[in-house]
Amino acid sequence: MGITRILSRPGFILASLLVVITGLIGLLGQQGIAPKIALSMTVDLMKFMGIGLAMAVIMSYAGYVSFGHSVFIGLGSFAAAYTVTVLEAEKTKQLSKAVIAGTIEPSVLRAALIQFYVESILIAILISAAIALTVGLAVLRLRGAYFAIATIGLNFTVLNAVKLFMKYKVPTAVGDIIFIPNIGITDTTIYWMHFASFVATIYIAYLVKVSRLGYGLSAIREDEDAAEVMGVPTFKYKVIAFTIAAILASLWGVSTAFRESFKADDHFSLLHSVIMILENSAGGIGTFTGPIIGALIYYPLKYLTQTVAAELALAILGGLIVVIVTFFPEGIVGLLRASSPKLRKVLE
Amino acid sequence: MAVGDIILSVRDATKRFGGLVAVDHVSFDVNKGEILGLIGPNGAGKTTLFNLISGVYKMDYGRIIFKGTDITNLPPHIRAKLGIARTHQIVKPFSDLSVKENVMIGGLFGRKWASEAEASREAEEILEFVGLADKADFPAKALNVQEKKRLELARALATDPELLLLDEVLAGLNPREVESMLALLSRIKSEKDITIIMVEHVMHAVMNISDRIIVLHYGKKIAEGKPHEVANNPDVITAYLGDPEIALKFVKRAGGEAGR
Repeated sequence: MGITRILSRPGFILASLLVVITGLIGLLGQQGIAPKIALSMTVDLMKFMGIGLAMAVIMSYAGYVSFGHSVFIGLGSFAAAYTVTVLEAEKTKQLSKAVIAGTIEPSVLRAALIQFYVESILIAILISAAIALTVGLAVLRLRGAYFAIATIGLNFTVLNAVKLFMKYKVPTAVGDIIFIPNIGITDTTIYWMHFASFVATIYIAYLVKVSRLGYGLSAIREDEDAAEVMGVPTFKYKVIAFTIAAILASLWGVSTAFRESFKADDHFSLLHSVIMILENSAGGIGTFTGPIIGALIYYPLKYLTQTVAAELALAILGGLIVVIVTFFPEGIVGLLRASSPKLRKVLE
Repeated sequence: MAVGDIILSVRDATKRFGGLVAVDHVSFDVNKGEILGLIGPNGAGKTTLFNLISGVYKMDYGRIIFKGTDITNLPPHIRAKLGIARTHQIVKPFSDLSVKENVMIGGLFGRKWASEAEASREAEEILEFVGLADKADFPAKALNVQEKKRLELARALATDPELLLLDEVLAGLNPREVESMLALLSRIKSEKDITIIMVEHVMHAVMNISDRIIVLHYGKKIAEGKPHEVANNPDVITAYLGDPEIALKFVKRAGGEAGR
């Protein structure tokens, strides 16, 4: 496909707009102009958009709900914790001590942690791709609900395997938590780590959507038998989509770990899968814009209600889902797309 | 490949569902460039046979040779790449995609794996050809039955097939729509150089348009030949049609038309 053809498309413009806005907020934060709270809120929002888009590649584009998709967030987070506290244990320990003793600047530790972040990303990509490929090849012959159930099983299996591994092979583990030192890591460092994941996720998710793969996936979602007969290599495409969705989710695990350390039960929690699924259903299945809108609905709800109770956001969103699925099963973007052919072209 | 060469050979095709033998050692050849009619009462195994040729079902026994290649064990998408396309008796549109996108999938995959720009251009041509150009931007679910049948056909054509399997494209159409669909099929044969196998219940239509007819009954091939030969075959009349009154009507109409 021609590059100029992509650059002028509404979805690409939307993605770039979001990247520019979040980039500007980061720059303002770095200059001390944007307050810390603005940075942390934008980080949250980027994460909710990012994990929604990661899920979109398999759920929304291909129509396969990965209920255990949080497994890849957990794996990404674990990859980060393992890289920093085990693979790079010596360096981390020495630098931390030196910073505390005041013999080196915190920025030296920060530079090292940024390097570890890059290493963690690579490891997270390898692990999540390997697991997604293996599992995908085994269970993506299953249709619909059976695949969803298999992924739930995957989540529990991997979580407990990781916990077992932590118990015997990760001396830095404290219960189900592995602390990642945050000395020297500033709010802007955290911000840029999430921003990097955001840029990667949003553009990859978009490019998948408008590529040949994306066309094939939408055919699979709409009617897999018809797609196969028309020449779409359905099984191969499903495995590729699942692997991309896994890799993208793992990126968010890595940045989350650098922000709040690795917490096994929390980061592997099925709640993340549910949030990703709800964002896609509320926003609109089959579209790139859907999960972005979904995050824009979910995050304010979560933010406004978290002072009362964290569960309230989900309760409201859950109720909202019942209403949306009942009255507009295609989600908000689906509803808008159906309302006019013009919107249909704009809201990709 | 010249007209008259064999494009598809089916040898002893057999498919069982539990104790039922849906297709029972069926063998036949299809000549390049012809329209082969496949008829038989409900449950005769016609659609199952299509599913075997397009690869949706795995055969229990037998072989299928397409253009000299043994495709018996190839998955459907590879068969599409080799040049086999089909329509579905119960239409299977990609409901939420636009009509044009539906057709583009055929060009992006199928035999060509064309670029997006090329698939888009060809989709427009094909929609023009089948008479759906004005619906290009509508979601496929907005089409009526007749239009959905045309969309099935358009999508199959977009895969650029050499062999096209048509599963009851006339069913559910009114007489006027049947006529215009038949005109379209004749154009496909003459202008696009595509070999067609069609399953059809609209007898006068299939008798009129087919070069040859194969009759299936309880999974077995009971007759094969020119339309008038098949129409006058006593086995077909008694065993296949059952009801002597319908049989008589069938012989009169089909035999009369085919014999013209």
